[in-house]
Amino acid sequence: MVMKKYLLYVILLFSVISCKVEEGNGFVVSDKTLVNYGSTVLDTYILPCAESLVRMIDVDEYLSLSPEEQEKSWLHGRIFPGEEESTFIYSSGTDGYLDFYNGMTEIHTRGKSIRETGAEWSAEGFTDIGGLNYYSGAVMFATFRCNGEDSWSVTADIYELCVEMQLEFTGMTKSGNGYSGMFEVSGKETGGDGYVSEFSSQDGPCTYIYEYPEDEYLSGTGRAVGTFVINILKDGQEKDWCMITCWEKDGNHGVVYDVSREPFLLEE
Amino acid sequence: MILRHAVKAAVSVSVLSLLCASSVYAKDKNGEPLPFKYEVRAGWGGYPLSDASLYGSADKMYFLSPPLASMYADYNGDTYMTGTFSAEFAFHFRKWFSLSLGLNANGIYSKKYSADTGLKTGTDRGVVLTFMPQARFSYLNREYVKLYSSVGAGVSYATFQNTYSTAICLQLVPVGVTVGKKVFGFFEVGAGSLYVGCMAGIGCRF
Repeated sequence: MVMKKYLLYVILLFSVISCKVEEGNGFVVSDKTLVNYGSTVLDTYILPCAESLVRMIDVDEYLSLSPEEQEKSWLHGRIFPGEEESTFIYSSGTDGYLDFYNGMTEIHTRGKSIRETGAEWSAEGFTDIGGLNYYSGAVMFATFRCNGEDSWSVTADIYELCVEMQLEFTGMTKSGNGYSGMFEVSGKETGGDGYVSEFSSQDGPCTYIYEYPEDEYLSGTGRAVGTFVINILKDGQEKDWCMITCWEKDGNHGVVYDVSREPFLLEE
Repeated sequence: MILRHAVKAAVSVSVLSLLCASSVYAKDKNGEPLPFKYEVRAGWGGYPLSDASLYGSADKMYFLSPPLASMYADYNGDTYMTGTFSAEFAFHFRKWFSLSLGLNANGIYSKKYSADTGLKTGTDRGVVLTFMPQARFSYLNREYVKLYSSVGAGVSYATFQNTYSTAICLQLVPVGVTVGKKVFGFFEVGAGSLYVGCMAGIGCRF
């Protein structure tokens, strides 16, 4: 009893004299968090992976050019022969939007054009470790398999983020100042403590549009039109979801997020 | 294990050496023995600016778009520190000079919350322990009032949120005052790893 009393005094003393050195922040999963996560899945996982196919097609085209033509290409000075046969190093520089995570990509063509049915290219992206990119250190490995005319399967692993996904492209052709085609995606991210996020395109294939910029020395940007759904599971049970609708109408385009949570206000 | 024993032995030898040395040299300029050879102090000081900057940031790094693993990880609420509790044993070598060996502790705690539900899931507790010898120079020595300055250097060991770290510590006290003879109170202002601001407490000379 006496000990308890003294303990109470000590706790009281501590609470009087202690000082707050850091404000806590409410990181409770809310609508905003899920929207941010949905945006991560779309902009950091799916779209760069789709863009990587366009880059491989670019590289394929570049390799088929004569040396004189190569000098005129925007890829000139960015592609170098690798140490092994049929291996090339592609340096995205710093202008590409998460173009293989702004680093060096080692491409294995196995001596085939990426447009040959059955051809399988693989690419491993090494990030710019010295950069300020949040994903510095993440390494992406992808394979590109040609299934037929203008059709490819892309599988990608982003090791550090525990993300793996598969994209199926059809009708990927040159269109306007870039490429467009249809694609379906399915993938998952494995988090800690039994959390798994499964994402996929919904209601059939989505459209992928890639546009080169006016400046020929810069790589372009890609966007999707369609609906994606992300289901977040905890120990196999559904925890949260996020529906992403990418729309395009009359030359305008945007993204709408629908999520499973309400705004969260921290009460403390 | 061997290192721990070695440190224990080194500290024991140092303390014994200081005890012997202070017994031999504890005399004033006239060769008279000093009235007090030793001193113990206990005090509290704040603000632990250095600890706050090194260990205060309890929250995980937050990014605009956190991937799944960090999105559902527990997060920390406000982080508090108790301020620096100090216990010192000082050796008086001269009327104007003493050497103190201080052990200081600064407690850290922060509540943990579930990112999923917002409910409390636990508390993170930690401590920064600092061993700091300080050289203390008295420039006013009255019977009941003494003014002094001190400078110290030591090492700290911190544990918080399952992480451990050590650091070199420095402390400067430009002005300190003690009031009392055998039993005294003290107040000092200083800046360094232990605290930035002031420290106050009580002590005893013998």
